[in-house]
Amino acid sequence: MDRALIAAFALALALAACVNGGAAQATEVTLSVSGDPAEIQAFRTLIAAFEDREPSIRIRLDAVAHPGDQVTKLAIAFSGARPPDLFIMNFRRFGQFAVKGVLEPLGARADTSGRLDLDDFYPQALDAFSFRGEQLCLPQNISTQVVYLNEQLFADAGITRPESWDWEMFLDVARRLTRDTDGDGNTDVYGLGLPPELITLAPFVWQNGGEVVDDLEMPTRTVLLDEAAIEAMRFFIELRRVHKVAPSLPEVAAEDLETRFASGRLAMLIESRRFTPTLREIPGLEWDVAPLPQNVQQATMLHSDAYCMAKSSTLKEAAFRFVEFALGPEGAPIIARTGRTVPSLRSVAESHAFLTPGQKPEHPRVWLDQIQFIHRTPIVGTWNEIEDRADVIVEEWFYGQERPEALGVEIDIATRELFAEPDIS
Amino acid sequence: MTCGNVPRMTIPAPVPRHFARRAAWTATALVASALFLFPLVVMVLGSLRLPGLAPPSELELIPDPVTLEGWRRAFTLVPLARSMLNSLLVAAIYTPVAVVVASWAGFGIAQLRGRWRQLLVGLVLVLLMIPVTAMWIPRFAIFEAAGLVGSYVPLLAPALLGGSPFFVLLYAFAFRRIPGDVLDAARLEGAGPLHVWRRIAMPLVRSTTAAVAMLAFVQSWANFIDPLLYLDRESAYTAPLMLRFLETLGPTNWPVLLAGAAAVTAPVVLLFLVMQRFFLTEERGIGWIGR
Repeated sequence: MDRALIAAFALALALAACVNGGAAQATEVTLSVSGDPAEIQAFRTLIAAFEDREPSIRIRLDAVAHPGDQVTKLAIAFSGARPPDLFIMNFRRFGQFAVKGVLEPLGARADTSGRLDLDDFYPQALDAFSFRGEQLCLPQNISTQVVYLNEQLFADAGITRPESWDWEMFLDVARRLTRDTDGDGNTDVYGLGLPPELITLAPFVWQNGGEVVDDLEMPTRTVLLDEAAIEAMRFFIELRRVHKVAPSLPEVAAEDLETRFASGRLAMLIESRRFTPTLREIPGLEWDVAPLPQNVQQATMLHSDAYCMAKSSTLKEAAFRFVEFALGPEGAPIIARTGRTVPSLRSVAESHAFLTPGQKPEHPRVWLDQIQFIHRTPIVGTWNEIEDRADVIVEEWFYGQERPEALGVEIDIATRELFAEPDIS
Repeated sequence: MTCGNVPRMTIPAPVPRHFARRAAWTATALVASALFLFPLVVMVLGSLRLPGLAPPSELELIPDPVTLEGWRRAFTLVPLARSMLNSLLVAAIYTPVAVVVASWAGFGIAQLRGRWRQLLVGLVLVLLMIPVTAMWIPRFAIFEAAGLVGSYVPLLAPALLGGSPFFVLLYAFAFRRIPGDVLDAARLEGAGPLHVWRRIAMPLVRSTTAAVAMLAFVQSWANFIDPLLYLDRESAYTAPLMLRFLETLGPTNWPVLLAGAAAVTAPVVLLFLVMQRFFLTEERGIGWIGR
């Protein structure tokens, strides 16, 4: 037994050495990403193409599945002084790294780069990753929320795909698509699926001329308190509570919104570009996309991810060479072809790599046309927690009985202390 | 002698009672087994559904058509086989080390008397209450300073502390049930502590060892957070990380996720089937179930 134990320890050390073996190459840049297997495969292709071009630089891909897992991993890695050289981060999660001053500003490097053209980037995406006057990260994609629609259910109800619509028309369409197909008194097909979260509610507030926070650059609280915001929240909540065009909480718990849409029991779903690859796989499903409805103005919510570099990286030059390649004319189309993102470069977004003629949806330009109406949430270190707290309240109001007027007050009370947390920088 | 009459008078009554009790016990065991087996059955049957279709609106026990396409995709979309092999390697080292160290610690605690034993048991209980998340950053900083981030050492290190305070307690309680005379007799014959532990004590707590080994294996096999935090190259990833990738595929690919889940669950189920004879032996009175 003693010998077996010693052997086990020896084996453990040998295994550890084996895994560590060959790790510390001088030009091995670590890239942390999150995504599904198809996205990760696209990154492998991108890296292979880069390494062909730049044989002296190797990229170690540190891929995890969920963005939340990636944030946990990055937070611990930064705390332990061992962050990856590069990582791709969503703008709603990027604030916690920006405020701590741990990011290398990439804007200055991009300005002097002969390979990147900042004018080709959508300014809305660049703006989301600039903090206190500095362009910290460089956006890889820019997506927005759109309305996915089931063309068969639209045709059955005699409705054509809207090019644009206001709230009244949106509600009318959702009502007409909500049907009890077998006459048993239960709704079988719902007109609309919308996740009851702050980021889904926010576009309705903006469409009505309201605001989510008091100051986008230096926010101190949420301001879902004025008449415009209250009216928007009432419209949002009544979609479920009064008009019953969206499934109830038990129904969503039994079958989530994406599954309902995929199986033809939901006529419209508000989602970003990420849902497209799933729908493309389903044989026989006829679907397309339409813009979000408007009220006093058009508005949608920004979804964007960017390449960020750790300030403590010792391989900044090599890491930036990869960023240049990934966001350049060779690299960007590789990621665009996954269909999961909208490219942050106009030239790639307007190309076949994104528009993919012959593939669904028939109207991919909806994403590009909506970019001009993009709004975003502020960059604060605690935005993740603010959303977490607000989402619980929005869901409670969406499915519950509370007065719509009180929703903004509740969110304000629950989140105000998080805006007050000091920056560490 | 009256013994010839006694059986005739007493046997007929207990037999039906005994039979009824056994039948009730069997029925309860069957219901309990069905409750635990049902999710496994649904998982395996769901993995045989064709990926890419819209999910069924109701529970579909037998898919139509039955296909292994989900299994094929689970092993080709991500390097699941490689990750399972990695997990197996880690668990194969983690489990015996955890068992040995936990049994040493438990044996030591069991040999103490009075307040010292109470103090150590109390300490172990306190350790059990420390939130795992509170240790993430200190642990990472230590392993980073030691240059071990990126290796399997941080995944194996808890085994050097017995895997879990719970395992130490299990052993401490099991060793306490061994009559002191047995161990004292061995000591009088000149046996050292390691000899007593190995030759006398461990054979008497075989059920506990089986239980701790099983739990330690599952703890290592199902560990998600340590591989997430410490491993930074795909070739070293363990199975739970790969399952997480399959989870991102969306509702039309649930058969792929279920196939991956079934593949990752299979070694644990197999291990349980092999180990269950140790749980069910008559010596359980000395072991973890208790008399």
